[in-house]
Amino acid sequence: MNLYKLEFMKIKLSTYLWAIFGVFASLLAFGILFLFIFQMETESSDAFEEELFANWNGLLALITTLSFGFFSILSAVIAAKVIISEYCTKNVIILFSYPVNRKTILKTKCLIVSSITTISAFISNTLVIGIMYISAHIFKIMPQMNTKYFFFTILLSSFFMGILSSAVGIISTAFGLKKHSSVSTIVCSLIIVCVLANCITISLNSIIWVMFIISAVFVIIANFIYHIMENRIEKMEV
Amino acid sequence: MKTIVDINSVEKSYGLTQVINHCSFKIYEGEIYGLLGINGAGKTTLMKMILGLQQIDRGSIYVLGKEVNNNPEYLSNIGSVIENPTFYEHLNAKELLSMHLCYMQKKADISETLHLVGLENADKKTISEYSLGMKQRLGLARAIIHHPKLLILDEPLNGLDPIAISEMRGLMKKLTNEGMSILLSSHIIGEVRHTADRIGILSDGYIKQEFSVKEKISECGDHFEDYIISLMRREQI
Repeated sequence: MNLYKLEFMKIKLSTYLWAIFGVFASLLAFGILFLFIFQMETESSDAFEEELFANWNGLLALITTLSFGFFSILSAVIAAKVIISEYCTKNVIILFSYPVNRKTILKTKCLIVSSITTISAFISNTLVIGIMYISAHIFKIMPQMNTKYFFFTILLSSFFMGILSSAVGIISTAFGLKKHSSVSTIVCSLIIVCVLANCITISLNSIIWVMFIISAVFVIIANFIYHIMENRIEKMEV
Repeated sequence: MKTIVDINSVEKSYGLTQVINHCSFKIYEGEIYGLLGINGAGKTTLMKMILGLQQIDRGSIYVLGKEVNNNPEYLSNIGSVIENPTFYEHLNAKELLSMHLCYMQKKADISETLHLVGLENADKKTISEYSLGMKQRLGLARAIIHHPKLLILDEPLNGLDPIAISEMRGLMKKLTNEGMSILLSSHIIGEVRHTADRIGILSDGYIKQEFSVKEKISECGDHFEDYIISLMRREQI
């Protein structure tokens, strides 16, 4: 039995693909805007602004932070539909009446949400930075390049950002499941995003390490919370 | 006769309220067992306990000789309509039933089942376009399509018109003739009287009285309903 195929039958994937495209388009618009900001306001800018907008590390951190925010919330929205709306409505009666282990169903759902989030966040962030880079060459706007392995940095930071976004999605899901509310799921992800977004820009020159540490910590937390959620669903009465 | 469901001294409480109290009864192969009780008597709770949707505080439930516990495999032999059935409303009936069969890991003729419940002409509409009665029929189709040995129906005739009710009764008889056992709950005496072979009166958390419908009707005659109402009343505490 292909549980993944069955789960995809329950959701309208096209809705989320359009949402992902919308997020990508918004990020790209922000990215292009950031490229031109420094050109327009070079005289009034201070040192931090210069560090943020005038070199690729700063722009990468900025776009990665925005992507993290967008995709964490998108992850919570998908989780609200795929997980919360199923377990917190009468659908759960029929779901639990199937001869399939409850933990297996939850794992399938969480993997679907995490995969959609991680893959789309990775592709979107990489593409946005890539398009910004090409645009900078076309328009002769060249923020300083002070990293040797910039391409490698983009790939790694995008990957860690995707992982971090899906971890935030899982943590928010557990909270939403406890409160039996889709709104709580999304609000929880918003709160986490507000707190974490400032941490990503702590050190612009070592974004890979910052992203790695934050995502590692959150993956551990999400894993711990997932096991609590799994045990709760195993004993859940409907 | 083969025992399909065996409920032994089952107890269930919600906080300080004891809903099911030393409840025991059996359902045999090919019979329709009517569970009668007033609102809040615990009929749905009992059915959910058989399906593993509610934990059992004390006692045991066996379905087809296997104890109801955390292993959900026995559920492939049960079909159920609990409360008002819910669906993935963007799907049509064929898609929904095909998904259900995948979960149950069984194969069946979807068109034949839809014909059986009178939905043969509505298979291409999305479920969101269905009326309440059509949804009830689809719920029943989902419950029987995988040919379960036990069918659990919680007030299945709600929302159906008189013709559909008559058709459903005929369908239930047909299914039992094929060897399926049915546990049917209701608080409407007439509904159970015309359908069930045996009736169990659930009151104060246990089966207060159990009898064959035919025998009791011949014994009580016109006073059948009065007799049942007197049994359904809760004991004054």
